[in-house]
Amino acid sequence: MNVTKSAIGYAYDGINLSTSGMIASFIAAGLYWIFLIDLSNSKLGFITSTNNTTWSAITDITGVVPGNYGVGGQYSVCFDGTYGHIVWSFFANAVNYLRFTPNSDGTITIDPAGIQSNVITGFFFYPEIITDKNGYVWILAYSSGVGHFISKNKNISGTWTADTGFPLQLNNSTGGYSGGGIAALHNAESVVVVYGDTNGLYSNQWVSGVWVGAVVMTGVNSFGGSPCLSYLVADNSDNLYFLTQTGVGGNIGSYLFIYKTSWSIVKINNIRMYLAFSINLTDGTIWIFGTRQTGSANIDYMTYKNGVGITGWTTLYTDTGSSPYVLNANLYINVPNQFTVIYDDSNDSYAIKVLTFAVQMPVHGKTSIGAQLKVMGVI
Amino acid sequence: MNTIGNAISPELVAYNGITTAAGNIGGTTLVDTNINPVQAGKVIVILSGARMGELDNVSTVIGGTITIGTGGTQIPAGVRYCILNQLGAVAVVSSIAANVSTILAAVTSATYGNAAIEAILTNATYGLSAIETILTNATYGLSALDTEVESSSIATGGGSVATHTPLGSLVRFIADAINNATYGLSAIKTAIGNISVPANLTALVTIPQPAVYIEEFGVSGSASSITIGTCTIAGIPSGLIAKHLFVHYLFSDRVDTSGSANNLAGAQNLQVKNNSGTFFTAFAFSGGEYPTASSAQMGGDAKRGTVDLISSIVPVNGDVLTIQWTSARAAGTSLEFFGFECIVELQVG
Repeated sequence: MNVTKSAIGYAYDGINLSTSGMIASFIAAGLYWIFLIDLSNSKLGFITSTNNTTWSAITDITGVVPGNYGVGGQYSVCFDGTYGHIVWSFFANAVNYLRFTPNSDGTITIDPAGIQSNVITGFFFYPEIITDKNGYVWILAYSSGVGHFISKNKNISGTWTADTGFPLQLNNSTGGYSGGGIAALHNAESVVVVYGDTNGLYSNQWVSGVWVGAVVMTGVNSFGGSPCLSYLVADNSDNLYFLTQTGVGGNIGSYLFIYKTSWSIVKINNIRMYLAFSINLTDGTIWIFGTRQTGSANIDYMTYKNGVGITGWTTLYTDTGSSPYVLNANLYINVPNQFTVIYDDSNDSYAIKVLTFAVQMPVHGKTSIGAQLKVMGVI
Repeated sequence: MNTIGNAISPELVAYNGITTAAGNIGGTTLVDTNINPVQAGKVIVILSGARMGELDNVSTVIGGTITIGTGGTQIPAGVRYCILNQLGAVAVVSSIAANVSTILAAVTSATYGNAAIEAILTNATYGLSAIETILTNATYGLSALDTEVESSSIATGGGSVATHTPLGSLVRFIADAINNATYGLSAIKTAIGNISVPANLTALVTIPQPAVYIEEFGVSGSASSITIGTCTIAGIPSGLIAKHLFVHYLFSDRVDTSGSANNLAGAQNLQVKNNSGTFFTAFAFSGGEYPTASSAQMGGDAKRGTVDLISSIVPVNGDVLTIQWTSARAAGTSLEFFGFECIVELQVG
């Protein structure tokens, strides 16, 4: 099934996004950037927009082949203010890295160092990438049945050399559970990793070359399950936000763990959802977009909530009952774990990229909500 | 002036002398009042006078009279001679003298002497002048040959000795061979191009295939087969064939809906078949995998297939691969898997 240009956005057939929990977009060089997999050749590519409304054609990144995925590609991106960074694995394989410069004309300049292959060797998926306060690149990735591994580039360049002591397998991460997140603090040379297993959530903090051991996030472990498809962000005050999907029985749902002076927990909803996350790094205003997937028509929908208080949800679209799970003539969310959100604080608009298995499309909406948000991952 | 004395190496000479008075009439003696008697028994060479060049044995040296074995013209006073060191020198000197004679004969030979050589070199037919005439000939001389070799027409071959220089004709013959439609370079190139390179010698290329996806399924407490989906093979370039076939799987999360601790129970397999063929196992589960707390939502997983199915399935474009979970069974009444996909990694060469 093909999707044509709609009133709310532009359709792209034959693309794929990264799995929820891995960031696929940023704002840089005056443009909005969404990175995606071009299913025609399995290469990683990108589209850009100047207005968050109309988007460019797909540009492939030569040589970056993360593979062809129905559920979600295994890649993440981030922007450090000067350079863009991509990390990917080819279906649970070694982790690769590339630095580039996003240009204002919608092109990228590949770093002369080129693709850095096998920066973490083994069988990995869910790779995530950040840069710390001093510009060093960090990668978090998960090895099936083994656990979470973290590595740090010794160089501030496009050439990857693992710093002393890396890659490092995190403690208490051997349970075979996939949820985790990594964030860099803004006010200290420090990186925080949050991950979990059935015994609870853990946070590890790296401070100026020293690891603070795995800390059980006491008081917030009542959810019972293990985290899935998770995000970790630090705002400008270095408050931490860990958004995940987990729970037991009636407690299955979306949870937001917030650390200011200690960890606290906010239950976002009581259902199983796929999530996307944005935050205003200045005031901590949060945007959470979710899609409800039930496997049955008429009850799937896309929604969002925002604000510091994480109040009520606003429904964007509701399944009208058409098969398979058509929200309206131009929007499908039957694989709702693939979407990304860019919020523009200059024109108060957001773009949501939604994918389905066979059909993918970005949709664009304009809200009256005036929160000054930035895309997740931008410092 | 050179004399025979100059030809005798000084190392061979024991005594140089000049006769001080005439010898006997028979010519068998020389008189030299300065000679030492110990020179008897050695060899004397007469270096001047009528008997210059004669060699003889010194029989005796008595009171200045040197008696030699062979007579001849009387040797007067003032004749130079020398006594050689040893008898062996006679042979050396004799050989030299013989060689000199041979050389002289060769040089003066009417057949191959200097005069004969001169006659050859100046011969009007084959002498140097005649050779020069050939080499500078406008038709077949060196300049003509140079022109012919340099000319573009040579590359196309053809011609004969009658119309071209011999060397030029040879070059043309070679050019003919190179350009020959049957066995020339072009024919060889074509033949090489027609060689079929065995597929196992070509580089392997991964051809992306559509993912096989199922949004959600539950593994119940009773064994059953669950169809994950199908993948229609496409994109294999002409002339290449499948060399390796792997299946990987991934799911986003899982939830126990049985109300008790759950996991996979018993042996079960993720299997693949081609069209209507037989299912072959890509992953084998022995039971106990994916432990899930009671009623809990827990993380997903991703696994790379390690079983190369190519020995069982060699798909071509248009083939439909069906993936199913065979004998799926959970310990509890239901273990739900979400966002489950399989990736067919097809390497061709």
